[in-house]
Amino acid sequence: MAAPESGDGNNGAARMVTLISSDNTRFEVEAAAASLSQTLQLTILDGGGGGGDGIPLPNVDSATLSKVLEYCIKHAPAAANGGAPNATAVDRAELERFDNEFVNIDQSVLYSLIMAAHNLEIEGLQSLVAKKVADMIKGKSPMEIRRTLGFPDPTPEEQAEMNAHMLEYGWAYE
Amino acid sequence: MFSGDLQRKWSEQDAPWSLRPKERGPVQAATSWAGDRLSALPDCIIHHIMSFMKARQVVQTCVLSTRWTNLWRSVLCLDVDEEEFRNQGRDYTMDEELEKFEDFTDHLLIPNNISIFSLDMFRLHVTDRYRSGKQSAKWIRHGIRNSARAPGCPYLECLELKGGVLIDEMPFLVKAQLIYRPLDNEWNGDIFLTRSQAY
Repeated sequence: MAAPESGDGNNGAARMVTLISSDNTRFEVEAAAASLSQTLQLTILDGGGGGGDGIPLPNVDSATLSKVLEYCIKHAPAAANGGAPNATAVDRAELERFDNEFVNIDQSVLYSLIMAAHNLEIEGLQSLVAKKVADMIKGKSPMEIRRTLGFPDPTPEEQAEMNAHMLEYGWAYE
Repeated sequence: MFSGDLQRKWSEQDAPWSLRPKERGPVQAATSWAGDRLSALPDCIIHHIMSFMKARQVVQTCVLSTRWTNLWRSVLCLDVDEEEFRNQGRDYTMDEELEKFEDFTDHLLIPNNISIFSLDMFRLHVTDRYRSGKQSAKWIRHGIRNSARAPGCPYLECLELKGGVLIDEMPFLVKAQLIYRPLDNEWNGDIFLTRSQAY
């Protein structure tokens, strides 16, 4: 992708594209931000998404999309610089702070985000959310994990099955 | 020589492993599971989540529910770490902890469970308190032998032994990388050694 340093061919005005969520909300964002999505990048390179057209995203609702775009807009400048090399420590710390805040959200939003990140192929966001879920699992016993992640209470049969599994896989427990 | 790309992957501690290209593309959530959105995620996403966890915790997810019973067996990234067996909150001696680590890894790396050569990434981390380099080498040799019998298996890009020893006679060895060459379609067992700065 051609990422102009500053002031591109369009007399300095950043190119905008329109994304349309599953519930028909239109989002206008800079092409550079939307291009963090591998899926969108090709369409945008082909000149799509501009003007009145817009790119429909039937798998992403507006609440999730606005969250996704919040991430993309924040990360677009660093991505345009090719990542870390030019970024100062302050910039990196700021992005890290943003990321930590960003995933400090309700679980249901987290799962919508993870699906959207995969469908839109936004690598950084995929990893950020996956890591957050992994952190929620780490260091917990199976029952604690079930409780934390909102599994329904096990039926007596399920409980018996869990116990049997724990015995079978004793080498992974105690 | 191996590409710089591989090395870079290993240095990205926060995002150790990315998905293979073939895993990409639109994914649909599995049929909904009552109240539990995590279990409803497609396998490839759960595996991605698991790639941020250590091996023991990954295996322990097998009891969560029937959905999880076998998910751990098909991971593409595995991070076996001796430190996961430290300070378990019980009064285990160091020897007992190391024994548990060895028992775990023995069980984990049998072909019915996980063959290291079906993985994209395998990390075996042992600290210097774990002196049995021969055991580490055995796990890897077994892996190589098993892979020879499984033509066309996905390839392992990089294997790392960090902070430990691969071979007893080479105590200076801190890092070994076995590189598979997909073009030759075989493991030639190249081992790249990195010497510790201290030697």
